[in-house]
Amino acid sequence: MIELDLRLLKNSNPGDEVGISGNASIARGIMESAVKIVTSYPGTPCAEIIEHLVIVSDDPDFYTEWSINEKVALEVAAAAAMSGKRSAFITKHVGMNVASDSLMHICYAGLNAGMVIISADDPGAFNSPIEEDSRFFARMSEILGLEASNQQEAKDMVVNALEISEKVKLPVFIRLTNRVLYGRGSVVMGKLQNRKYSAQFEKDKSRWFVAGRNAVNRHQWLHGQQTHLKDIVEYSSFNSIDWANQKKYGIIAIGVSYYYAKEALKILTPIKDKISILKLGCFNPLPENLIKMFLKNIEEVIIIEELEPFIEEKVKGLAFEIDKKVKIYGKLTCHLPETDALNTEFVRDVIINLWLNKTDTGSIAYEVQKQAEELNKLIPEQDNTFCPGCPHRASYFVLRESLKIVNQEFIFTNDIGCYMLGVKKPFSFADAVFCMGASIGIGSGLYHAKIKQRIIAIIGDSTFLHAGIPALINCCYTNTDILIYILDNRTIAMTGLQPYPGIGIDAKGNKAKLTKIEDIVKACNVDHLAIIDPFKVNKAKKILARALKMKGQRVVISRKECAQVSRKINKENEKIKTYKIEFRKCKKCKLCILSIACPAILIRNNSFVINKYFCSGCGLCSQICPYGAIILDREK
Amino acid sequence: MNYNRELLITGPRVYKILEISQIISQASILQGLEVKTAEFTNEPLMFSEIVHIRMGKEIYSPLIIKNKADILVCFEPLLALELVTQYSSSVSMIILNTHSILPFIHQTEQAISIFEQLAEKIIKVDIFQIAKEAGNINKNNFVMLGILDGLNILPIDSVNIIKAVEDIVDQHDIINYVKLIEMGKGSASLF
Repeated sequence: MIELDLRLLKNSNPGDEVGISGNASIARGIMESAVKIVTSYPGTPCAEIIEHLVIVSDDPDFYTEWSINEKVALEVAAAAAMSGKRSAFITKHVGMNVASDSLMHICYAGLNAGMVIISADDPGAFNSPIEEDSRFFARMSEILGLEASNQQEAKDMVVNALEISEKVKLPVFIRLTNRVLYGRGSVVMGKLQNRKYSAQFEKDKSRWFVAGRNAVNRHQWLHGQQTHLKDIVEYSSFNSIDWANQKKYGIIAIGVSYYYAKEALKILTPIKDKISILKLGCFNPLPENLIKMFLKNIEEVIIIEELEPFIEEKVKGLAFEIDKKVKIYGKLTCHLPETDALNTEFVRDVIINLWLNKTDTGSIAYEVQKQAEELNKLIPEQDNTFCPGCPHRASYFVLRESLKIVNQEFIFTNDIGCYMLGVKKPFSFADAVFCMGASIGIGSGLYHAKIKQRIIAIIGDSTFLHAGIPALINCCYTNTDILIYILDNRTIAMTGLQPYPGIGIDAKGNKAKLTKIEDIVKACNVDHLAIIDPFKVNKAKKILARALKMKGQRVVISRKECAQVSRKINKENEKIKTYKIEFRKCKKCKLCILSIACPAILIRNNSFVINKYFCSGCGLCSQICPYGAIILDREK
Repeated sequence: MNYNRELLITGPRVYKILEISQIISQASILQGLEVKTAEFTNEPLMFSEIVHIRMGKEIYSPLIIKNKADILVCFEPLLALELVTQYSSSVSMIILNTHSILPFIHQTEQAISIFEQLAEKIIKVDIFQIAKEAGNINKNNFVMLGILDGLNILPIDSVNIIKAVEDIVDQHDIINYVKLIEMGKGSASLF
């Protein structure tokens, strides 16, 4: 996706209006603000920000890294800002959980240059395991929290946040949601600031030694900064009011919800001119005086925000303070959902129900809807979503074959990455999935709880380095009986093929020091370690079966490069080989489809064929076919 | 004249529909229109991608309201079924790529018969065939862009679509892309 905006970012001049994604607009904001250090751990929907920056930025003083996890990433960015260089830390919402420990401490110390934290929330969990509302981290750490409603505002907020951050000596938190990041809109390019910094870390224990009584003093300082933040939000241009002719009804909305409200009012012409809208851009602290003034002028208000009733709870308190009975509707009154992404229909319907006393109609004919639903059920569930040639498919196939040899009962704890798609048929190797690295910790807990089945924890290469190592050490320390199956595809595939220390390539594509997973595993002192190539099925399944039969902490690394990476390399070298099905030999036993569900294998006119545009040439299917009907296509 | 258009495009990732979204977004801006898009990946359906494109005047939400899409482009009809039933109306136009890459031909035909009950106009086109004739089967999404342009259903002049392509793609590829667009545009005159 990133290449789409690169040319526009590179070639546009200040004042040009372009149509770019939210991710690209954030990258532009970072460039315009002369940020020198940007850190992150890859995660959707915000991985593209760094990917834009590493290609577009030609500033020799600009440094960016894919850190090993979000905690380290935040620390690196914060240290830069402590020593006087502007920085940015970018994470998806759940990454804030990992980074929060450092954030709470760093805010006590404060910074010497601007720092912005970009947190990408995913209401609806379209690209995430859960749909957490990360705004609470801004409140917990007592820093300014902003939320952008579109791509232009996202860019402007980055520029403004860095200036505010420098004034108050604290990081500024910007919450973005999937609809802004994974969407396009008009953005006017600003001027690139030309700032030169010289980094300097001044020794000052009263500030940087955050512990004991000193921490209490710094906490007091942090509280003192709240006065400045409150002043800033009252006058921020990111908050505004559209007054209606009649001041009876009101809407308070933040982020993309503001535009859902505007769109709903555009449709609801009978009431359009009777509803005032307070658009918020600042959520922590809230512009309390502005909100109070708004509430004083209306009688009923709907609060629209995505996920938790963060603002609604506060507004209820403010209404009490002004001593006026304002009817407040939202999530707490069950007029809007506390889960899932919002849309215009939600807002339209709540306005209709509350203020127009009507229900909306306009859905398609019931019979047609019914037919479509029936047909939808016919789309086979087993359409495995692993790409053709994916080594995870081969790793799971090998696991299934080796389990046939072992004949024991297992629980499979899985982890975060492409490989979690192993939950689907024909594999079903994910009895539980939680957060990064949890497969090993949860697996260990199940063993110590003495459940009757044995445990297999499945984890990816980068996930292992991110959060799996402490859990593995814990397994060894507590003598857990567990097999850890590390699926090493030599990249961070799920978020767009980013590099990581396991392949010794840095964010800019340059050579870096290599961290070998097997060396770390050995250092943890496991009982057994083996490395397999999942595409050498017979050999791999014997090795894995042996490890499965053993006891203690066993690690099997299934290593093969991601097919997407290989395809890119092959494309450059024009060495793509594909397979075909010899129809005379094919007995139509369906084994190839049922056992690996490769999307390249199709049934056309009652014959089995391989789509040569999809086939990556991995050869897994040819090893499975008992009749030798799948052979290399030498025509291509 | 009503410049507003609600365009929904869906298909497996292999069709690169996000490229169409980007070009139409940039072309809309060059045309002086407001534009907003929302892009989704639908993992359970073979990594289908879904793009909402809203262009015209007073465009606020990035999402199309259900049953309000003017044009629905479906690269893989069967995978588009749920979306089409949600977003089409009796005045919608549905453009279908008839070259399915899925193994479920019968169900695909059933899906198309349902679409015929839903929309005012259905256009069926084999974009693979046109792209093959143009000499670049992998960039068939540009053929679809040409069809959209040729049907005169977007409030955007052809010159701005080409300018947007020039803004976005590598300079040495422009001739090939323009050829694909022109082929698509030419085929649109048959519908």
